[in-house]
Amino acid sequence: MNVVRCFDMNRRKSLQLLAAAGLMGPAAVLRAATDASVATVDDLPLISGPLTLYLGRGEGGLYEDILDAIRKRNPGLDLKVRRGPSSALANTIVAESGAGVSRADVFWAIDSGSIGRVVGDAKVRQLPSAIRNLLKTDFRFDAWAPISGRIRTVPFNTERLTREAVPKSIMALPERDLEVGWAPAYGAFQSFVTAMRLLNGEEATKAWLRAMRPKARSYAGEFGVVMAVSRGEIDLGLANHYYTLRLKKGRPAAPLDLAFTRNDAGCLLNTSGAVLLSDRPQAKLFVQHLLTREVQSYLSREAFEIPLVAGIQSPAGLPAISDIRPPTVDLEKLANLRPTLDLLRETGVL
Amino acid sequence: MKISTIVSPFGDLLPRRLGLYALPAALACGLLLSPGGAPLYGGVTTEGAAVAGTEQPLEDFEAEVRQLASAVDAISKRYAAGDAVETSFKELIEHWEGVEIHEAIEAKAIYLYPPIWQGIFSMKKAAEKEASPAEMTRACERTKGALWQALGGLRALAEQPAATPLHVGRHATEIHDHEGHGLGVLAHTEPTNNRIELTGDDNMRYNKTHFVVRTGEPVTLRFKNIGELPKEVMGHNVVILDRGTAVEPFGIAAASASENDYIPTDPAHAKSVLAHTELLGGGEADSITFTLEDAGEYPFLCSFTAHFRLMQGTIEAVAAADAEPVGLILRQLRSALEIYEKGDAKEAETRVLAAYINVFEGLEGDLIEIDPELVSQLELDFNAGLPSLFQEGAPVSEVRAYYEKMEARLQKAKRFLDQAEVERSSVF
Repeated sequence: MNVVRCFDMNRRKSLQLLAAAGLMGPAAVLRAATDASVATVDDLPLISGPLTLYLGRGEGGLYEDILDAIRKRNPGLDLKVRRGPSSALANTIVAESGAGVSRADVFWAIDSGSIGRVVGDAKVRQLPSAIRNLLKTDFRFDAWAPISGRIRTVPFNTERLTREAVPKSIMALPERDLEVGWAPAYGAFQSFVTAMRLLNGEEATKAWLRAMRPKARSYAGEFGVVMAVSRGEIDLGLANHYYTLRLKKGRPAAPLDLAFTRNDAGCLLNTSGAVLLSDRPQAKLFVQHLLTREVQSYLSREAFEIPLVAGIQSPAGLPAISDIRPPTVDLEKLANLRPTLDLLRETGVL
Repeated sequence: MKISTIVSPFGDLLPRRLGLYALPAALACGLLLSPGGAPLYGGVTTEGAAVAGTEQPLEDFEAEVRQLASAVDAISKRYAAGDAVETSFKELIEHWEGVEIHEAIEAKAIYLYPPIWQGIFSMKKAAEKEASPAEMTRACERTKGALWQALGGLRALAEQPAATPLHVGRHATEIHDHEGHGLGVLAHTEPTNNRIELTGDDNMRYNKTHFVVRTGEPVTLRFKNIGELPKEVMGHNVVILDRGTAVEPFGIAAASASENDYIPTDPAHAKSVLAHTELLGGGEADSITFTLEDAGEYPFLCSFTAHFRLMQGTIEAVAAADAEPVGLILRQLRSALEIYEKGDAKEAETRVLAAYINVFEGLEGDLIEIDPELVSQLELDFNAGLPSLFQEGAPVSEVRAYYEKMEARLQKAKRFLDQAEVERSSVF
């Protein structure tokens, strides 16, 4: 099943992201104009009745904080939560759907690949326009609601490198005489390689991995990569955006900045998202809560995730993203990691 | 010996099922709830047969299954011919309740028991809704299949009398909550909010068997029987027992308390019950609130006859400090060390990884802003330091020394996180 079939085909370009604010410096705070139409929680009626949420793990206690706040606001809500890795929950939902069972009312996953699996293979409900229209224009889909985004970046050491020296194409990276850090065991890195496979093909990806391997230093996690960049152990790294933003918030003087490639896997955008799996009105209301100004701001402020509702500030320190040009990728295929793992092992990267 | 005063959801089709278990003599001779490791043959006795010590040949069971299967076929044929089947149902159920294999299944391979009742129930439902003969035939085949499967299970057990009880091997992975699968011990690192959501089903399974709660604070437990069968044949409850209570003797005693929905009233066992839900039939739910004052492991079980063999678990009450994320990590790391000391380096490594993925990764965000070097070091600890020692087979003293350094770093992280929590903005 192809998740894209369930989208409005005109929106396929949507993952080429956010028409956000204009050019800003690397350390600038993105402040989009306030959209008067964005819902606040006070605009919503209270939720009541039973609701079962399948919640993919992520963001530590922050998602729990959001659930607690929703519970507190809605004392009539009987919320049951099943937690697990997003991919495992997606498989469970598909299996339950196949067996004619529907236990979950809402699935909130941390990655769009898991969403794609469910949208492709389970009985999901169409998103009401009241929910769809809360999202930025490029993020309005028929079958799921993106909640927040994260993007691949190239953190670089400003004492060893200028921004201009960072290649604009991820495929050109092996040609540069640069010391690079990566975390091949990390899921986000593997999604990045998967996107490269989808965009550039198996052979080009294999060649890229082989060429990169001698000049890349492996780290256990992507925060380790960013730390190594800031310490000057390496020139640049490959990592999701929030590690650098958090480090810069704590250490504004760290010789560290973010760069982006263009229209390739190096600036892949992945999103968390929610799917409606029942017709219960409380399910729709729950998703609407996730798209309120308050929750979107909280995700941006506390989790450094990119809000996808118009008019909400992006995380402090995120460079202008109108120039980033994320690639168009079939989100469902991002979940197919097996060929990627085979490739990483074949090339000795894993 | 079988009491015939039970109000049955099958109308008069199930006249006396529950009373079957009010048999002190049966319990005393250890049949009904005997440990699964005991030999089935060469020692199987049935109080119902009142022949203590008599061997029960497998062939007798097979003959009983053949007779039952014939009775099921007869119902199928009568139904297809348009004849009334109510009397036949009643006879079938009485027949099923009276055969020796019935009690042997309950005592020795209880996981094979629910499908038989489910099959009979599906036959009854088909008749009630005047389903097509084909549908009735399918229900009959389901019932026969369950009977033959039960016989096969007993045969397998008879061939391996010393083996682990069948239900353990079959359900070991099914009983536990799916969340923990893959890393095995993730459930033990789940932070707690003192809210427990539990379900039971017609296959005698709880959806989760381990919870962590904080001591001294109210715990809310919501239990739902998500099955379809009525409570008289597949009722479930959740009975929380005091620390140190042996589940098996309690379960045996509970079986004889059918008049009190399987909650023992004798003082010796009643004093072990800290809280319990109502006994629920399919689709019913109940919520209870209780407080566990002292740290420790509190068993819970379904006290309906023999269900505890498949339906039991533990609620682990921990001091508030141990229930916080860093406390959970430390408990998990300590358990990894204990496992390593017992020689299972691979499992120890898995537990460390579980603590990292399930808890620590969620804490990194705030810590990065406060002390990035500390985060960097702890990432190394989780992903390289401790696992490497396990892989190398390092001396226990060396592993413990490493753990102590890691614990100090985690305690430092906790102080930072507590401060960050105080300063965190609210959602609404």
